[in-house]
Amino acid sequence: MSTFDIVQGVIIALVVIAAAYVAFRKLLPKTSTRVMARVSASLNHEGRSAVVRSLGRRVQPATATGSCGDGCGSCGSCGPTPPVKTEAQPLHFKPRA
Amino acid sequence: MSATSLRIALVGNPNCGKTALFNQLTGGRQKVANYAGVTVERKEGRFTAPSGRTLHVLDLPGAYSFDATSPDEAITRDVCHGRYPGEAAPDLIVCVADATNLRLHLRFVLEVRRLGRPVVLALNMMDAARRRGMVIDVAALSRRLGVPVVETIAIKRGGAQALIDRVDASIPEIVPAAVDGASIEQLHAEVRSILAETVTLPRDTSAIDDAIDRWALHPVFGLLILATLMFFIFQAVFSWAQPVMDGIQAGITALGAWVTGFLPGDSALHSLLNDGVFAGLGAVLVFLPQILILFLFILVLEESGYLPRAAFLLDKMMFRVGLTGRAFIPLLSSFACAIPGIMATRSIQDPRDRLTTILVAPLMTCSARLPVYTLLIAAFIPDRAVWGVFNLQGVVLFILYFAGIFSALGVAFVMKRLRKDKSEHALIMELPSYRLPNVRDIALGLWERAMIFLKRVGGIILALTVLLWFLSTFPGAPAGATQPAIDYSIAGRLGRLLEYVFAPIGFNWQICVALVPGLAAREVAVAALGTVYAMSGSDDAVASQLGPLISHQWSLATALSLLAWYVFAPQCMSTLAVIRRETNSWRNVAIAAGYLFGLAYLASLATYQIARALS
Repeated sequence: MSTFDIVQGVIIALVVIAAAYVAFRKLLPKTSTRVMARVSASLNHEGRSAVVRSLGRRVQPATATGSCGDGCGSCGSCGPTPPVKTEAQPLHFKPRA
Repeated sequence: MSATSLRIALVGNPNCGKTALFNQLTGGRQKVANYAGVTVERKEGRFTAPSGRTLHVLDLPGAYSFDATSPDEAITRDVCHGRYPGEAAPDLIVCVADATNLRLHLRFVLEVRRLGRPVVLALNMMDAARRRGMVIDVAALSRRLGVPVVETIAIKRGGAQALIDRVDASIPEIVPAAVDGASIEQLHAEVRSILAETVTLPRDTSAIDDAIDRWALHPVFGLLILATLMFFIFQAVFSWAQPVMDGIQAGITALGAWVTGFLPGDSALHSLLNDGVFAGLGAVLVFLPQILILFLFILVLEESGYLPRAAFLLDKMMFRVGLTGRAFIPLLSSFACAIPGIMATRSIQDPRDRLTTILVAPLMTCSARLPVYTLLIAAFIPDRAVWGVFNLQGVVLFILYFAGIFSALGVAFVMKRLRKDKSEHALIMELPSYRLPNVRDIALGLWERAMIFLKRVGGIILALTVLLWFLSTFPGAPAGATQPAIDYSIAGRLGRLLEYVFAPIGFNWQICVALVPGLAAREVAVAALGTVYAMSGSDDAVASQLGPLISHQWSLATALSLLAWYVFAPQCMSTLAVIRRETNSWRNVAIAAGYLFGLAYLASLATYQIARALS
């Protein structure tokens, strides 16, 4: 295996991992936030080395955001605002009896 | 409240210019349009006043009163009363009123005053009021209301300076309301009394608005004008964009050739760049001009004040099929994207009307469908004139958009038949004054649309294209393989598997592969087709021109079937996520996804089989 093949393999692996990460973050924002929070917690606790703890802090997710701002082509206004909990009214579809 | 910061809430009737004022104050770029119900959520921004104090500004949805009837009005009510979760009551309420329509807006000002909090009244659109010959005695108005009154022009640079100076100076004292606990009739009486004392009004409505509305709201000519406008828009999308699209296509091809020229032709890295990035992303990027032309018209219509008129014209028809006239704006917003459209349904009071509108909103043709439609139309519909005037491709696009509209009406009609509640809801909608669109606002709107599209191309679309390339490349072909390598890959095998399901509607395995990432965002299907065909061993030069390639490989029946599929299919997970959020129910998500997939399959099946029988 030549040097080019090794470098090429590493580049492709990094690009594909990055793409998978971006897709995961965009398409499953809540799950990804949960996962990243767990990863962060497992890395950033006492007993770990300073480097690992620093990495844990780095991957700690910011506050969760809704997915709509990420997946939509033209909406610029539906991202981080939380739903109105006080007025949540489940809508039920009721067919004619 | 602290000495260094102040929390201000902007409240007022819908369409009085709160968000424009918010943008002026904070430098924000929240969406502004000339109709009621654009803002359905609270927005927060801040700026530093000349005194050095930080002012936190809340932009709240418009409300006609604190007796909230819709979810967006409830937000305003709760924030003003200090009942919004996690939100302290504002230190100062800036009540924004349209100076040209004080008869309506002052009633809410009186309600706000009754809250017993410090209030400043911002008389907005003062320029329009002066043009109409209105004379407002601001000092007398301030005396009568017992609150400071400032003049603002939210759409003009520096038009909010008087407001900034006033709120920065001091918190106004709270003056007890004269009519605490007053009934609505008493409030109206007080409004009339205040107006009689402080405002000179040459006539109730604008003469220009009345003259235009005689035609625009005419039951026959009004509909004709609306249909002509829509038809013209779709003609323009095809006719105007082509030269720029050709330029972008040539640029992408040249850039791809230059970049990949440094790499060995048989390397995986060359394939990733050539077949994945340039063939995939290039296929999507080329549609940017068409998307911008569509948004140019949407933005102009939004700013002009024509859209509520269109809602008024279509109310009768919409009511017959079970939709309220209030659904028009959410459905129209869905032409840009179903997500803001679904969120805009918060302005619909009746929960059942709201649910119906939410469930049919994905049928409106969002801009993400445009790349798919135009790719297939350009590949299969000849570019020739109809009756010497119209472009046939534009006519087909027009028909596809209307297919979405009519299917939404049909689905709403079925839902109406299924509903137990047969109550009628009259449409009460404020018709704003016509306004010449502001060139700067339109340019900013287009810039933002372009950035959103480009960020999508460089974000989720690029990510999914790379993943699809990976799945289309690995595992590689075994030794002695006779088929293209993609046939042995994960994506190739998945496509062949899905082909069993989609063969009756004419989809080949390449289309089946493209449908999967297309679930994340519709345009990805175009990028995926570009990648899959490039990986299938097509000549590179051909692969960079996806349209001609598919026109050779697909039958007309398959192309029409795919078009029919995209009219109905809920190929966007974000839309389903927003339905879940807005209805708080997975059941409604299942209903939406189920009926949309079912309709898509049936429509494609019928289209494919009929087209095959006729060909």
